[in-house]
Amino acid sequence: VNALANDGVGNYLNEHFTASFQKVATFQITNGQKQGGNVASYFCSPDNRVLHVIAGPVDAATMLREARWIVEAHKLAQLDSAGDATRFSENLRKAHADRLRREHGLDVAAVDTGRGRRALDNQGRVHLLLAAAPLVKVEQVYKLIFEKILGEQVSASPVVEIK
Amino acid sequence: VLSAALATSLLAAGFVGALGITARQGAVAVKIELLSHEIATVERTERAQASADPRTRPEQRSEGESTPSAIASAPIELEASAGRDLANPAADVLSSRPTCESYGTAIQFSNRPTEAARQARQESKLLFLLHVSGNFEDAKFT
Repeated sequence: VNALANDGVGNYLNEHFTASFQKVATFQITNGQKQGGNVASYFCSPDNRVLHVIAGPVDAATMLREARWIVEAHKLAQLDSAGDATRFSENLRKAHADRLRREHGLDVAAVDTGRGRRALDNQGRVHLLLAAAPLVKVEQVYKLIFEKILGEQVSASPVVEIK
Repeated sequence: VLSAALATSLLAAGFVGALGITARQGAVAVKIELLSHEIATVERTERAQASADPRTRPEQRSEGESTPSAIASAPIELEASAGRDLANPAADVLSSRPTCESYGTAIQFSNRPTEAARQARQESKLLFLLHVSGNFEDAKFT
């Protein structure tokens, strides 16, 4: 949440996005110590289709970089697709596949990268997910992201404070 | 006979080569397969829930899909899932009155995701949605 207090992040997000929040999990406070809890930041189209996700807390520079990236990738996909939904989706799939290849060394299209298993970090998993299922709706993936990528249980329970 | 034998050999070599490629792609393909399978399972469940719930019939859904309008007919299109709080406008309305606050950040947050989505459509913006553990409104519990 600290990254969201940054003015640069705030200005950019306020200019390009409307924002909201949703409680999807809980955590426990034991003797003043927070146990568990996490955050996922979704960049979506207004109909709740996921363009990009940041899984877990990040610093302001990362938040700003990722927000700028998806805004530009979205604009480029719109330009290139010229209203064609399939091409639009394919453009976003490619954008995630490109980052997966460049930043995480996993090329989903190459024939010679299958040797051994690669340990992807959270962001690598997000790119893999969105390269496999671009423009998936938030309600279809939020459990997968919170439980399988972030390792937190989705829950409607309130925060429990134990002293 | 010679040319037929040559053609057969080439076909066999091509087949073996294809098998090699498939094996090397295995690790990546398995990962994507697993993710796709999980998403497909969620899709099937939601489709079943949506078809059983009259509130989610197409004529009940809100207008104004985003980005290229043809996305509404894309293969991954699903009915909105009114059975879940996350996508349920009714639950959203019941949660609280719509407000827009910064909650200690530099960003203006609407307390209703559906309101933020409507606003995004209206202002030709994208939607930033934060999923958190705990209560976002209370710094102590976030």
